[in-house]
Amino acid sequence: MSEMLWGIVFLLIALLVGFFITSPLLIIISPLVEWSALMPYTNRSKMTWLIFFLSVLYLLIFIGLVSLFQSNFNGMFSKELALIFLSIIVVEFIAVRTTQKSLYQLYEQNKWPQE
Amino acid sequence: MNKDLVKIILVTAGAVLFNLVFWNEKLAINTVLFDAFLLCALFFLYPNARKSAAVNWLLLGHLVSLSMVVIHNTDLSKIAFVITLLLVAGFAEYIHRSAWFASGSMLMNVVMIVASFAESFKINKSKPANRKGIGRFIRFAIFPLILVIIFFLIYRGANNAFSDIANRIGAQLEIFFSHFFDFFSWQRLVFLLLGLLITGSILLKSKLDYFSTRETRMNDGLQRSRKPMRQKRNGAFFSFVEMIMGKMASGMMALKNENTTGIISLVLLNVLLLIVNGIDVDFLWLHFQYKPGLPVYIMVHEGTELLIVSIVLAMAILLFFFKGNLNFYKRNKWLKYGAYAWILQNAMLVSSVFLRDYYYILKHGLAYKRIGVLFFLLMVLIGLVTVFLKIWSRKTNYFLFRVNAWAGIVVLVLATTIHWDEFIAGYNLKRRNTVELDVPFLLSLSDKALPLLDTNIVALQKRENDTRVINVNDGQPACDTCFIEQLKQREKQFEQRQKEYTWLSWNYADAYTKQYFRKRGLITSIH
Repeated sequence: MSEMLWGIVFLLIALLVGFFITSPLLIIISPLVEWSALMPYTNRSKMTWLIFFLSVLYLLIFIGLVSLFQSNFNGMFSKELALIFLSIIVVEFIAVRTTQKSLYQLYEQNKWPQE
Repeated sequence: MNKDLVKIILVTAGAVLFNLVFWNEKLAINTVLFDAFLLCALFFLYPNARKSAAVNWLLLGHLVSLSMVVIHNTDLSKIAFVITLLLVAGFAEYIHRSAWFASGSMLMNVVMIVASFAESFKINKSKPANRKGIGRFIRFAIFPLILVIIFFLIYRGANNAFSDIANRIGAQLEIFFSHFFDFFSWQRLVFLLLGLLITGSILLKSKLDYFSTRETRMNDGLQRSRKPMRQKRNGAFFSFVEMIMGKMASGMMALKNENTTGIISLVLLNVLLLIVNGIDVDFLWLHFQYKPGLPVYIMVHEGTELLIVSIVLAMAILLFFFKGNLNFYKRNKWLKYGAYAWILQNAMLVSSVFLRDYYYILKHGLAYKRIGVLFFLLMVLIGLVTVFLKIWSRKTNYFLFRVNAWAGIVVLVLATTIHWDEFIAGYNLKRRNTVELDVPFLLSLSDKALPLLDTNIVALQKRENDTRVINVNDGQPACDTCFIEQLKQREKQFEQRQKEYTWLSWNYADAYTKQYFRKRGLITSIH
C-alpha cells in the first residue's frame, strides 16, 4: 500500500517537474501556433499541420535526449522507445484536440481574404 | 473524378510504390519505376506544364540524371536526380523563371505538405456536430479517467484478489504491446510515412505561392528608380556607407561621389591584381618548375583560396557599384572600363589556378578535390562572364543569379555522365610510371573501380614492396600483400552487399563489377 502511495506521489511530482521542465518549449510552440494561423488553408488543415510539426518537434527533442544520455543512436529504434514516442504523440494529439475551440477562434481572427 | 480524390489516390499510391521499391534497396533501376509514376502523376495533375520550355529542358536534364543513376550509380548522379526532379516539379506547378525561386517553392511544398494533404480531404458540412461530440467526450473523459486510475491503484493495493486480476490483465497487455511491433514493422510504417511525405511534396502544390508571387515582380533589365532619402536611410547598408562617406553619400553630388570612389577603388584593385597576375605569369605560365622539398599541394591550395577570396570580393564590389542608378550615370565610362579590366584580371587568375591544378595533377594524378577545383573554375568563369553581361547590358542581380543557377544545373547534369571514380582509377593507373600513386586512396574508390584495380594490383603491390626495400629505414612494419588483402576484402564486402539486394537494385556499374569477378574468379596472389 505504501508503495502504491509512493507511486502516486512520484506521479504527481513527475507531473509538476515535467510542467516546469517543458514550459520553455512554449518559446517554440507559440510561434508554431501563430504560423499555423497565418496559413491560407482551412482550419482543419491548419490543425493537422500543427499536430504534425509538434510531433516533429518532439521527435527532435527525443533524438536530442537519446544522443545526450546514450551518446550514440544504438537502440534508439527499439520497441520501448517507439512506444514512448507513440504515447507522446497520442497525448499531443489529445492536447491539440481539446484546445480546438481556442485554436479555431485564433484561426478565424487570422482568416485569409480568399478563404 | 474529383481532383482532390485523385490527389489523395496518387499520393497514397506513390507512397506504397516508394515503400515497395526502395525498402532495403539502393537507388538503381527501382528509381525508374518510381520516377515514371511521379512524372506521369505530375503531368496528369498539371497538364499545362508540358507546354513550358523550362519544364521540357529540365525534364531532359532529369532523364539524363536518371539514366546515369542506372548506368553509373554514383552519388553525384543521385544528387542530380533529386535536384532535377524537384526543379521539374517546381517549374511544373508554379510560374517561375529562376531555379532559386523554384527551389523556394519546393521548400514551401515540403513545409506545407501535411496541410496540403489534409486539404485534399473534403469536409462533410453535416458532420461538425459529430466532431464537436468527440471533443466534448475527450474533455468529459479526462477528469473521470484520472479518478478511475487513482481509485484503481488504491483498490489494487487494498484487495489481493482484485490485484491478481489486474496483474493478469496487465501482463496480457504487456505481452500484447511487446508483440505489437513484431506484427507491424514500425520501421516500415515510418518508411511509408517518408514515402507519403516525398510523394506529397512533389505532387501537391502548396496554396502559399510566396516565391512565385515574389518572382513576378523581378525583371532582367535594370530600371532607373528614384528613391526618397528617407527610404534610403532605412537600409542598414546605406547607413554603413553614410558612416564612412559622411555627407558625400547623401548630398546632391552623391552619384558623382559614388562614381569617383568606384573608379579609385577599381584602379587600385586592378593595380594590385596586376602585380599578382604578373608574378603568376612569370612563375607559372613561363618558368614553372617543381621545387624539390616544397609540396605542390601548398601551391594549389594557396592559389584556390586566393581565387575564392578575390572572386567573392570582385563580385561583391561590382554588384555594389552597379546596383542601381550608377548604371545610368552619364560619366560612368571609366568605372565600367575599370570593372571590365577587373573581370579580365580575375579570368587570368582563374587560368593561373587552372595551371596550378594541372601541374598538381601531372605530379600526383587525379583526385576528387582536384577535379572539384576544375569544376569550381568553370563556374567562376561563367560567373565572371555573367557579371560582365550584367554591367554591359544593365541587368539586375536577379538576372545574374538566375543565369548562374541554370549554368550550375547544366554543369551538374553533364558531370553525372562520367563515372569519376573509374575515371580517376583509369587515369592514375595508366600513368603509374609518371605520377606518384596513392594506392590507399585508389583502394577507397567505389566498386566500379575494383576491376581496374584488380587488373593492376599485383604490379602496384610489387612497386610498393620495391619502394619499401629502398626506404628500409622508414619504420613501417613490412607487409608484402597488404594491398592485395585490402582488395580481397573489398571484393568480399561487395559480394556481401550484392546478396542483400534484389533485382530492384540492379544497375550497370554493379552488374559490370559482378560480371568481372564472376569471370575472373579469385584475385591472383603475389609470388
